[in-house]
Amino acid sequence: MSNQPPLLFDINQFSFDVEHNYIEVAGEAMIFHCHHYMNYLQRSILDAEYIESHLFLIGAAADSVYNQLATLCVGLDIESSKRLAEQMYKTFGYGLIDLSTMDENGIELQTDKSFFSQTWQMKFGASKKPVDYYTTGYLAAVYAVLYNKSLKEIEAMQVSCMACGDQFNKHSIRSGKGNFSIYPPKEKTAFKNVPKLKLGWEHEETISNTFLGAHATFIGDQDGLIPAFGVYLVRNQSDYVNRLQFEFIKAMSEIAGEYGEKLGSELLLEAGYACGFFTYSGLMTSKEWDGAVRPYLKTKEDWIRGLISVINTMGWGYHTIVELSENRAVFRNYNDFEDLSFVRMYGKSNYPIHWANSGGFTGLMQLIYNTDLVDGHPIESEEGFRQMRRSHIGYKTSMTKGISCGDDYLEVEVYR
Amino acid sequence: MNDIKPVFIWAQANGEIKIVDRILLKLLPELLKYNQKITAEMVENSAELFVDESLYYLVKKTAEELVGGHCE
Repeated sequence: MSNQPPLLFDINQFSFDVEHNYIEVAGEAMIFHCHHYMNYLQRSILDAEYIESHLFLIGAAADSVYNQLATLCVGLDIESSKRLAEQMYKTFGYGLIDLSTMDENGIELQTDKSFFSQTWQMKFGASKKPVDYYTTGYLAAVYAVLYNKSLKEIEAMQVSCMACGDQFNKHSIRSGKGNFSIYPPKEKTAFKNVPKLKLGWEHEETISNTFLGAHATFIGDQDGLIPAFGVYLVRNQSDYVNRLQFEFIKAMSEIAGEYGEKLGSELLLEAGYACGFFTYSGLMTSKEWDGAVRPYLKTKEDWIRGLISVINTMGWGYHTIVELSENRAVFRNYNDFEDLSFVRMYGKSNYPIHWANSGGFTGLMQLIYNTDLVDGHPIESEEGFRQMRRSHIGYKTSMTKGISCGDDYLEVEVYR
Repeated sequence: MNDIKPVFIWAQANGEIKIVDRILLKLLPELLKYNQKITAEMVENSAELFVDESLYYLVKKTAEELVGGHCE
């Protein structure tokens, strides 16, 4: 990377849409996920070895990044475009890349800073195969935009991976026979502008206003990573990460119909569950929470309301509560990121597709009612997480409504 | 025919929470070959679950690989 390059990509240039609890960067909706979610999702996809998942694992990333860079690089020369692409990658928390050797022939890129490879090892240990498909897709998109190539004529692969024990990640990008999926143009985001059931909690606005804009502080550090709340965050193109879910379930359905969908869906829900559990736990034990939220909390239900007041500033839609008790809760999300994404890329769905949102709500219920978090005793380890799940009656999840199904909002019932 | 339920019970006691779903996902083509559509609910709600011997050993091997241990 060049020494102190000018800042060509700055997340602060992109405003947060307060009405829809949404943020977009150059036409792509952006959402945070944690390393628990991203790795669990990807592992579930890769465990279905009979699916040619590399096609969409690379293709989904290439598509979203291509769309962004094709806009952001307008008017920039090649060198400036490279710097912008490096900075965007780092800002989003994917690690570090040095594009200085990319030319008309492509690039053989080497890096030892990779969100996917480093956090896979943290969660699962060694992998038999390379895991940083996102970066392969990212580099393919950079090459296509900068050298005016078609994505379908790019051969992109990861040839070594730190998750497999290699010293570096290496990616090879060159012109050739395309080796990943290409997707048709998608619609613009279509919000469902319906009256919202508000959270109805007197402290909501105070807390939300305190955290509004905080999302912009979550940017990659000197290693290109975003450690926060005891997890590693990454700012994803929403369509990239959601396409992984949708293409996975589509493939499972093609193989085994509803049975395949069910097996896949259970693991997608669990990915959201782990995300909600670990990330929300970290957030609710942070000093920011202690300072700005904790003083308003009297009951366990207030902890949930407090959390929702915070996360509504992160770009995932407007979460709210229809019913809430220890045994049963009904949550809504207006303009949730999964449904907006599905509608934009695929149109209508025959069944709810908001696994990450719904798993997240379930993880939150587990956290509040089945752990001692509110008394200051969080569970932070994978083994602690497993033991707690085994020793308590778990919550069940029923996804009842979704925008992609024609409803006005996402709704999920969590019960035991 | 062998009862596969004890293998799943062992995996649940020693592996991740969704280990049954993960084993089934990994073995989906094989399950279909044996005309089996086992789910986690079926495992939970049935006293025993008999499958062809070769499928039994496949499930056992996969469970042991995923969990990292030996199922007696």
